[in-house]
Amino acid sequence: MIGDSTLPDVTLGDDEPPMARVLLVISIVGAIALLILHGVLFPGSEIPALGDFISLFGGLANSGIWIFLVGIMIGFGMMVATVMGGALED
Amino acid sequence: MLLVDIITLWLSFLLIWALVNRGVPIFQELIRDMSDFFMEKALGPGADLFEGREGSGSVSWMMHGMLWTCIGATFTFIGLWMAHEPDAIASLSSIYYEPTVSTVQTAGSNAATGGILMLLIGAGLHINTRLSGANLASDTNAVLVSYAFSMSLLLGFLSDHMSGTWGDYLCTAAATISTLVMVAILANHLLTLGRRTNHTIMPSQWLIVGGLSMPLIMCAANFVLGIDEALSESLAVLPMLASALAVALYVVPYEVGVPLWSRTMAGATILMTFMTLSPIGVEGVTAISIDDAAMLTIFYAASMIPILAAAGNVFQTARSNWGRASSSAASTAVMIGMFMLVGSAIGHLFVGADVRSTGEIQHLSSSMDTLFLWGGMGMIAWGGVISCFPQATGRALHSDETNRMTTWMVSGGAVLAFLFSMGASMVSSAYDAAAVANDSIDADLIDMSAIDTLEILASIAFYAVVMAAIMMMLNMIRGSFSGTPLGTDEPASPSANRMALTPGISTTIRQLLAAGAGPNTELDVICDRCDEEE
Repeated sequence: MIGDSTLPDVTLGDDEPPMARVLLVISIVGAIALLILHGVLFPGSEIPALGDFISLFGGLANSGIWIFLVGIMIGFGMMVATVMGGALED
Repeated sequence: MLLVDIITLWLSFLLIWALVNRGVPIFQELIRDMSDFFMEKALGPGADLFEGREGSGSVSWMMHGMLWTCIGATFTFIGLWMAHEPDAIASLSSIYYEPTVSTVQTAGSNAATGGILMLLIGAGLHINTRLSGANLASDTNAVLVSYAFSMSLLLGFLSDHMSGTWGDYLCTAAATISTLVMVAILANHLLTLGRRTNHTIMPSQWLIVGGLSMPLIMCAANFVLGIDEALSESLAVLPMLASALAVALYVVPYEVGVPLWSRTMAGATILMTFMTLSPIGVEGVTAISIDDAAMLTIFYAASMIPILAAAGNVFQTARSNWGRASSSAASTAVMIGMFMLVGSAIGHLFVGADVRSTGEIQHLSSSMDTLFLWGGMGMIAWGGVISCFPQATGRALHSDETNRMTTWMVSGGAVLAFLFSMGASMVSSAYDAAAVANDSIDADLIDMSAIDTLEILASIAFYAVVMAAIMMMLNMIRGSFSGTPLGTDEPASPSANRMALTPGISTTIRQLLAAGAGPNTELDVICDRCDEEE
């Protein structure tokens, strides 16, 4: 029923998604795109580990787990920083 | 004899029921005063270290619990990864850290179990005070013993990495400290119950007190009478399971604003939780007769009743006001947790019954443990934290969005990790069975890449749980420091007192809010050229 519509004349709203969520989606899409690209360019080869492209970690991090562990370390670092920041702010 | 031990278990529950309802004749006041004295004054300077604000005990347990949950999740993730790549962290040998796969998995499992138990105990402390209508008997003691329990987890974590005499010493110290802590927490709960202003003792309170006291009483009975190992194995999970059911039976009615749907089902949950034996975590360490195995199987099956009753009660309660139940992250987490608890309990029933007979499906045991610990207990503890932590601190958690997102991350990560790891173990078992059945198959020549792929997927799925735990910890820290005080509409961050506006430039309310304006902000319109124009 055309006359029953409760939409306003302009169907564009003002709300925007939070920037954090936009970045999260872009990161996930980007990661999937890079994985697919890697599969196309280097078929059959393993995903490079942290030590393969950061020479500083060449002898240390030669397993894919280190990509994940770096994220965990950053998370624990943020915890310490947040506690210290909160304590000093108070 | 197993039957005598089970009757001892029932008698211990009757003892608790009588003592909680009627107290200890003649010595009631003496015991109460002595417990009060031992919980604060007798600790001397130790008790003076902590302020003992209202709710601080609960907050401290939940904070420590989430930290250990993060550590446990991290090591569980590493353990899952090392299942397909045992040398993944071999580079850490340069700092003398060279654990085996089983060491990392054991350390991760124990840390996570301790962390989730701490979350449930922290929520339980808040729940008991709330339902009793009285303050916790001693918040100071609760804070102090939370540090002690954390220390016991640390000692246990270290002992998992050590072999030989020192490992045994640390393990013994950890077990002793944690037992003493449980005694202290139980005394705190009982004293709080003794000061209650609400006459009726609620189901959650029974489950909390019973879950902590039954294993302690049976431990004492073991010293005096000698309890069958098969029964002791089942009691190990009782504090966590009973606490989780207590949290579930409190959080959903609280969040939904509707009382529990059925008194009978709540009663059945309490009674059958303590009168049956759970198959969860049972490894069958000792051999028993076929008659005892048959009796155990019946008790294992009966242990489904309290879980199904609690799940039915929780879901029906949520159904009474589904709008609020589904919009609350806490009740959503608890409902997902109850659903997964039912699934893992049924799985454990088969695995637990099998361990006493043919042992054909024992390869599913570790996957079932993952589902129970993270999917069931973890999710219910998550709901407990989201619901109880703000009430205990008096401040809202920093972000509701994080509550909801981490709920889905933990549930999704735990379920996928369970499915992939179960798939890997089933494929592995099928290969082993084929190799045994057919001698011509060389086990070394079988392509095992499917198992590796499934194990990789399991570990990556579980990474979501690790990230969720870290995000939730950050949410709790930020909430306790700068969360919105409950009962007020104050913004989380201090708003600007005065702001200046320039005429001629359009400004939206959104821009003002983004600039830090609050409801009490005064707006000054400053016009430099107005006087000149006039």
